[in-house]
Amino acid sequence: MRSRSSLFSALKAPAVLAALGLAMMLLAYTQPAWIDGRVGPGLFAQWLSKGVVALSLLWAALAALNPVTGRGEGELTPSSKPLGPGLALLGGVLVFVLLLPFTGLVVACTATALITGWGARDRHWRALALSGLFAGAATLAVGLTLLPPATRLWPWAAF
Amino acid sequence: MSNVVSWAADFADVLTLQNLLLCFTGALVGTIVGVLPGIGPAATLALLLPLTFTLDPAGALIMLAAIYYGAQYGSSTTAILLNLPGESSGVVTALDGHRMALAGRAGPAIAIAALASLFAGLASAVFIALVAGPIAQWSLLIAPAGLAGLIALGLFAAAIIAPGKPLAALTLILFGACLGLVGTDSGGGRPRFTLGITELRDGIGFMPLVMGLFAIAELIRALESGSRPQRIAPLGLPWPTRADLKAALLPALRGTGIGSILGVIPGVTTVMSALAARGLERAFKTPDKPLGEGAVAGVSAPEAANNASAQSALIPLLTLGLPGNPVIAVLAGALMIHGIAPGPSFIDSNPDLFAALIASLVVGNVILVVLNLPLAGLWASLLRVPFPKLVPLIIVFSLIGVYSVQNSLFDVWLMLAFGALGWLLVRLGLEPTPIVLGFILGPAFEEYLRRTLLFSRGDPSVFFSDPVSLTSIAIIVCATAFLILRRRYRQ
Repeated sequence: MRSRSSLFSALKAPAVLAALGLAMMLLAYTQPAWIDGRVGPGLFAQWLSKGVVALSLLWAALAALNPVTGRGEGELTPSSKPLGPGLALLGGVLVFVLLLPFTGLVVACTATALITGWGARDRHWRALALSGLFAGAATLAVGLTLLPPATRLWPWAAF
Repeated sequence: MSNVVSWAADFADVLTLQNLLLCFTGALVGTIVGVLPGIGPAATLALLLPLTFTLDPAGALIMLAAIYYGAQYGSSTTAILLNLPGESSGVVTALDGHRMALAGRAGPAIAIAALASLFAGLASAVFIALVAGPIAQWSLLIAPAGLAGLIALGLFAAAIIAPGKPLAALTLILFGACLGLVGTDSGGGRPRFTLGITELRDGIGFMPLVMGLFAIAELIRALESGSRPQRIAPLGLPWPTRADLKAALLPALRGTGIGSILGVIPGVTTVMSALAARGLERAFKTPDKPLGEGAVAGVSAPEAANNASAQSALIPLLTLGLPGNPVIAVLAGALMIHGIAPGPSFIDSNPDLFAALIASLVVGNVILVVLNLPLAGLWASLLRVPFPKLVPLIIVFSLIGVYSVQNSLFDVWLMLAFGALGWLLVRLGLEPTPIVLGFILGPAFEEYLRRTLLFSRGDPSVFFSDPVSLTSIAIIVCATAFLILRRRYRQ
């Protein structure tokens, strides 16, 4: 008899994919499968999304019935790792998107480098500042040499 | 004969100074990034893709190919020195290569790996030049139903050999194919899966997808695993003795043969070829040490097979438009960004590009050896750079790369979304790479399906009357039955 936690762990991955497939399926059914006897935009989309849902359910069923490993199909390693690095890296990208329209590329990249450096456990302030400065300088160099002239590098203007 | 002469002329034409420099740069940066553990060839290609944006198609193809095999090669150095392969195929090399390094023979091991890779690279370039043309001619005769069947077979094969289990990989491939359908429907011009977002009418960009799934998710995975080298084996002179060369020759030949043949089969990865080559060596007596205890054959055979397989995997892409593994799928997407559409008519329509690719394979492999033997010590020292120092730079360059394709902030939002998805999949213990395969092949599969149903007036039985399609379906059904029976037998 498997524990509730191991069952939950085994069903997590197929459940996530089934949810994604279901969302795709709902969207696919807003499109016609056939138009005047011809293949419409919805046909293949419906087949594929139904395939995602069906395979996820099959996967979940096999994972639930599997008494040996207690894990679902396709799981490489169970993950019980801290969320910090992932959140910091995604946060860095988010800050880039939010800052870019106001500050330009150099400042946005510097801020991103500071946040992602911190997330990568480079916590000493001097080391972090150096990473930020280096990233800013590299962005400036790339911006001046490789990017189109209209690219906004600074808050006030392109150059 | 005239074909060979014309091909040789095309080959000479593309060997300009600029193209040589591009090949050198691609091999160099591919090796530098490929050396870093945790960043595999697919992620390396994705990260360095923006470097090619300003190039013409031939130059871009040369550089992308050089990055591709540079990244493949880079992993063997870390495998030998640290027992920490940059990508999976290096695992096989590490079995004997790292033993050699621990015995104070890291230099000869790296040299044997480089020379075996060079031999295999040159041999498989000739193999591609000879075989790709006839296969492309044959593929032009295949009906849309047959091409749809071949794509389905390729996707199925990729799912079977993908890391993890086939069912999970197949589900992710189908999900990737759904993502590939986002945008304006090619048949009727209607928006599909766009959620009313105007920017999605052109579809999901390839760059945000791969940067999110590979660059961000792979970096997070590398940070979470936190595996960094503690001790680097002393290098010594990177040159083999005469006895080493003698011991390496026949295994390299056998590895090249196996790798070249297995690489053509969609779904076969370099690690499978390397494993097969090492397995074959068990049937032969090694002149120096037994396999697993630092035998030269344990380095030369898998390295030759790895390189030969990586290159001959280009054949199904160039002739059928069928990327057999995720790395080739990233390469295919990169080529599409440059307006190069690999497929049955690619070689006939673009003889200059095909010659550029072969030239890149030949010249690039020579450059790799010239580059890697003297610089092996430098690559080892790269590994001493703390990973946290590299992370901000990799993220910043990825962001600039994604943003600069269309100066679009929306692409960066997409990259963020796919980064989050990739991270979620990694935390669930899933490998996100099959999504890219589905993303690339989904639209092509739909196109052939649409054409087939158009010609047959909606009758799906045509898939069972077309010989290529029928054979593909039969193989899929038999393989599925075999997998189910094997699973039951094991239980």
